[in-house]
Amino acid sequence: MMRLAALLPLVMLWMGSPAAVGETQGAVHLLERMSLAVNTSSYIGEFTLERDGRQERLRIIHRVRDGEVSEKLVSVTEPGRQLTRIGDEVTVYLPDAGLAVVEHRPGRASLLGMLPRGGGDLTSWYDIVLEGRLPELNGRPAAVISVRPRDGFRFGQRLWIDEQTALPVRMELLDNGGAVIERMRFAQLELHSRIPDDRLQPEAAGSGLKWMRHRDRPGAAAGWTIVGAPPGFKLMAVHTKELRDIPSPVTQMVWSDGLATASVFIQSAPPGLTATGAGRAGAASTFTAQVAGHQVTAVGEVPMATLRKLVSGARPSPR
Amino acid sequence: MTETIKEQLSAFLDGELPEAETTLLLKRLERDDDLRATLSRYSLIGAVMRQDDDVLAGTALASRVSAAIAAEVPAAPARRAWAGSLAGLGVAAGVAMFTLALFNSGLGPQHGPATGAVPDLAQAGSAGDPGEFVQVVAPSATAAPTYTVPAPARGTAPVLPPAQLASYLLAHGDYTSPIARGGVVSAPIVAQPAVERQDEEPAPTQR
Repeated sequence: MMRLAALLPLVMLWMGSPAAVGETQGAVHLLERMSLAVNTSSYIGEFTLERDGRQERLRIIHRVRDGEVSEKLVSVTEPGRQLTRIGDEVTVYLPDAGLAVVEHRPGRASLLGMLPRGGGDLTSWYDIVLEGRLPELNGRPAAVISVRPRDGFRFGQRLWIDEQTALPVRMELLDNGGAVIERMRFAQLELHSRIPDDRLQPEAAGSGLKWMRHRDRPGAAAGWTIVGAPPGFKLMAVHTKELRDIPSPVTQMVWSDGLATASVFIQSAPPGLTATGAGRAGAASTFTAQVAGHQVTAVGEVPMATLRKLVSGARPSPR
Repeated sequence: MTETIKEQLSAFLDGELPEAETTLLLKRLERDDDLRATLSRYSLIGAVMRQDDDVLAGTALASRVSAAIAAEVPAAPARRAWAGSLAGLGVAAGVAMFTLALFNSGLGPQHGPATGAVPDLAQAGSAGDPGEFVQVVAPSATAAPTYTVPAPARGTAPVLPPAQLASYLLAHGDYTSPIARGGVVSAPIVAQPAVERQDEEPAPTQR
């Protein structure tokens, strides 16, 4: 039998430059291009998300016009579930939960505020490698990037990226054992130079929803800090917002290692809610504990150990 | 890397490497980054040649190899999964998917076998030879796909009320990619309480 090794040069030539495979610099560059493209391009697509034995199909419409971002994400599988971003407001409609949540954040629509940041030392925390190239994936050349974490505080990823548009065609989130936690793949994805306003309007979400409106409180000080955050995670942003039905404001601290992101929410412990524990919502996990009379919750697509470390490090800032 | 090693890798992937040599190769893989990368590339090529439609095979193989190394016992020789056919070189447009990243960030003993795998819903249970690799996550070609969902939470009440959780996910979503925000729409907004448990801090991953 002909050994595979003998075919290696031929196949590698077909897949792309042998020198490029295994390369880190090119892979990081492509990741950065992808991050930029997915935020700054205007596109319409449909993709599936698979996790926990569920497969859900979603439609995405993302528009950037005059520096302002609008988007709509609609569940094709669960009609009525959708997220819209129009101006400074983001609304999620969850008819099966009987909820519609509106978040108003001034400047939210600005493209600048949504650009990726802080990815300078990604390679300190991940091994990022160009695994290979495909001449065609969904009809277009694609590169495959492997992102392997160097410790247990972050998940790995595998990404199939359209080499022309730099948009992701397929992504997998991997746990620390290398198992796929969540898989996303586009069935179709097209760049659109002009997306009319009506494509971004919410679709019928049913009636009888309980509307929750939250608003950012400008200029409010956080008053909290995180001691001993997981290695590589840096504070990216702090917001304070008012939630309907909750008398005290909620502080959101956003922590990221340049790729993985976790938010820490801090609010006065609501009466009767003193629970501590973990939860999951899709690829995101949550961990909640009581700290100094406050409820502290970390949310993110990161291992539970990361969320626990963030929560356990929460301290009121000395005044 | 010598031709002998390359031959061993190829034979290993073909399931034709004798057990004694498999043991030695696995030990070598544990400490040789280049060798692991080469094995990953070989597997990639093999899957392309076979016109694999997914990567879970690679994940499963990685799990098997990781588990074998962790236990320091030879892995059972893999059944020939992709050898033989050269027809795959003429892969039809848009069909080729492949096996990648046989190894996550290390093969050390702290990396147990993959238990949270999401089988490919489009693949599992499909007609045709599922291959030994697929069997790791889907016991048979006819059985319904099985999933290892994180342990169900125990407790009496959700930690976070749905409205609060939805609000948190929405606010957090501003700092993820537009595609990741799909999770806000697709995730059931039901918090699952869990018993408090103190995990050990993750150890640095072997490189």
